[in-house]
Amino acid sequence: MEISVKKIPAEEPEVLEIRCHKLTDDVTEIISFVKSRQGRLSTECDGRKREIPIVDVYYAESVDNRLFIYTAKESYEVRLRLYELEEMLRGRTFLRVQKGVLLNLMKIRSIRPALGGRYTALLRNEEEVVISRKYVADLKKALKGGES
Amino acid sequence: MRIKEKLGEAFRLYFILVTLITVLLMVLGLLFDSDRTFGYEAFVSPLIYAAVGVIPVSFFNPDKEISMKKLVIRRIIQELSVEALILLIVFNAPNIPSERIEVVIGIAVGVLVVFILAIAVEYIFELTQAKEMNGYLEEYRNRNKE
Repeated sequence: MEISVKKIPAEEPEVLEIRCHKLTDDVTEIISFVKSRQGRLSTECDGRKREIPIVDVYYAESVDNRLFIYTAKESYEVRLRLYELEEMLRGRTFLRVQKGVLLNLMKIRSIRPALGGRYTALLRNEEEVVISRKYVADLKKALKGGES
Repeated sequence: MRIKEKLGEAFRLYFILVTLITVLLMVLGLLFDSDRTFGYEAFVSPLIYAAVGVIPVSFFNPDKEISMKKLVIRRIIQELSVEALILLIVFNAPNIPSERIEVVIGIAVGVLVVFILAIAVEYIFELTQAKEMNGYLEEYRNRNKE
């Protein structure tokens, strides 16, 4: 695929156009990346495509090589790998808290111990997400303002 | 989990165990052998028994994510390992009257009590940590208001 970048005057709106023969996974991934940079994620729910604002995402979980994002009440599938989503969301309020879970720290209501060095994050929608002991130090660092 | 954090956890558990084992030795001594006197070398015993207790709990505790059920099973296996190690020492130590069944049962129950108390103390420590993290969380939310 050729890439061309054209500079335009400031008064014209910026446009990203992808001209392709077929909407492949690679193209979908590029679209997802661009949308995530704009604060939205392309998702699927019951075969219907939807765009979800990143600020509405509570957490993302990888299950059997499929990635799901969870909002307050709904779950959606995202055509990405967890590490790709993690990379896209770098610099935002998301942090890996389990091998297969990315958590939006802004959605945590409180944290409590869960035995054996693990902790449980109680979310604003009353769901609970376990914070694996391996990631507790990273969580503390992120909350204190350091880079996770 | 980083080596530094693992060592930190192991040291914390070690000193919790030293304290609890010292109390346990006093209770067991008063119950079963209150007339005996010891030399200064007796102060070393809690340090040795605590080291024996720390090994199976801290170093056979991989970071692999497990369910609560598996965590409980792991804790039971760790407890049984500690019991086995301590009883092995008890039966080979010349100054412990291991021929008296009540002494052996007392030690076995004592080890179980110390194990449970160590978990309870760890939980209290984790509660403090959680409280600290909730404070940081509040500050984090204020810094990153949506």
